[in-house]
Amino acid sequence: MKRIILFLGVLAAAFGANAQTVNLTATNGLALDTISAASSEFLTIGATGKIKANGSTSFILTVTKISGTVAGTAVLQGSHNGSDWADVVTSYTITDGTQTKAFEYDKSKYLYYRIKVTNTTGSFSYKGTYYVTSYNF
Amino acid sequence: MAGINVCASLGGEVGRGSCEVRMKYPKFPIFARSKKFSAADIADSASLKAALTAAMLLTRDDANKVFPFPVMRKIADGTAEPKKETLDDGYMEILNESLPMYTLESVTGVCQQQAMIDFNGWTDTVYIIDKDGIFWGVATDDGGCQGFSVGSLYTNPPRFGNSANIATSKTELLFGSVDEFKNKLVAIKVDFDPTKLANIVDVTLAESAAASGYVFKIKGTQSCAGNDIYAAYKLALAQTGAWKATNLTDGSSITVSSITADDATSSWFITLNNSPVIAPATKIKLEFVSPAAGALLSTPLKGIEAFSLIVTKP
Repeated sequence: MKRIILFLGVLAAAFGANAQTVNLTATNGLALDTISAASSEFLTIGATGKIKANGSTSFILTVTKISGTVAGTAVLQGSHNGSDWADVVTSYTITDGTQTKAFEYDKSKYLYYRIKVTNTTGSFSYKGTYYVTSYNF
Repeated sequence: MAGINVCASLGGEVGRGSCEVRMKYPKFPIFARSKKFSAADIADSASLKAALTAAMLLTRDDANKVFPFPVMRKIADGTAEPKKETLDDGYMEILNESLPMYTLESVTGVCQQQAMIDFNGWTDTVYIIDKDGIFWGVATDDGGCQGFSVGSLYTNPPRFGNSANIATSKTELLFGSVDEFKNKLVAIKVDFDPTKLANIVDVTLAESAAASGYVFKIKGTQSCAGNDIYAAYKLALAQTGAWKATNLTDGSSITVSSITADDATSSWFITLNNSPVIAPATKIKLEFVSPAAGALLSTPLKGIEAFSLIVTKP
């Protein structure tokens, strides 16, 4: 059977495109983790701990205050090889309270992405999602 | 009784589907050893751009690295006529199909042409971006794609031009399988300029002066052209994150403590960590970090990859 697979934007629907929201994996291996001491943790995906861009358009970080005066930062990082990382957007300042931050990104620039969450003071939980378009061929 | 019946599998509908695409001339060949792109990598142009960039930024010895050749400006289809035989009464059959073969002409300098010559004898794979910006590969069972098999590859040595024609580099590309073109093609329309993704040249490192203690004085030149890279990379290579040092006695990594760019000698003075102590006469390998890591530095290190230099601890 002859088969030519042509990937054009307008053809995504023809081959079947499904959108879904995927939970990122926190440092503890679960969808939700807590940082109570000054430290940095990561929201990633997959067994390797790396996010691989897959038709996604944004990453959503949710921080929920637990105790103390919450302060910290969060930043989206990108990588070509999954081991060397650089910040790809300006760092977001986590303030005292519960909050949500969307990180938009250019998926043509890096193959891998992750969110670095840093706690300065207080205690908070964090989780993340990203929006994926999967293609059925 | 089992019969001989191929009606279910021989032939099929030949209507014209939507979004048909034609294969235009191969403008931008990208050679690969075993690099395959996943279904996610080729989901759209942006994902392919990221995946191609990542593959180009791998070190030269990585099996998943891809090597883009320059833009091809004149293409001749040299595919041989299929072998036929005609019987006495005029009956004729095609006996063997010929492998696709193209002569690709590019305008390159001597160094770039010599770098292309280094690929002569290549028998791995090649991806093609054609004149209309369609990326072509061979479909894999998991929804991704791999490069076309290469039968043979040859680029001619540099030679003088003449007064009647533009001097070009001629690359003879023979594909390794005609069957790959019959039923397994993948095509993705790309909206980026592949020549802008990553352009890397080799650099040769050398000691500009004798090492002293834990300080090594290193300079770099483009491997073929011999141009000193100091002016262009003074700041990028003054970052400790731009270098790797390895103790060849035990294979351990050595921390680069600091680097000073020295204008007087067009060199970088690289100070290695003195803890743990490195014994005199120890062989140390100095090199740049991978292109992928270098691209992420505060001052990005882009466009060069160094052959490692072995130095001796004084």
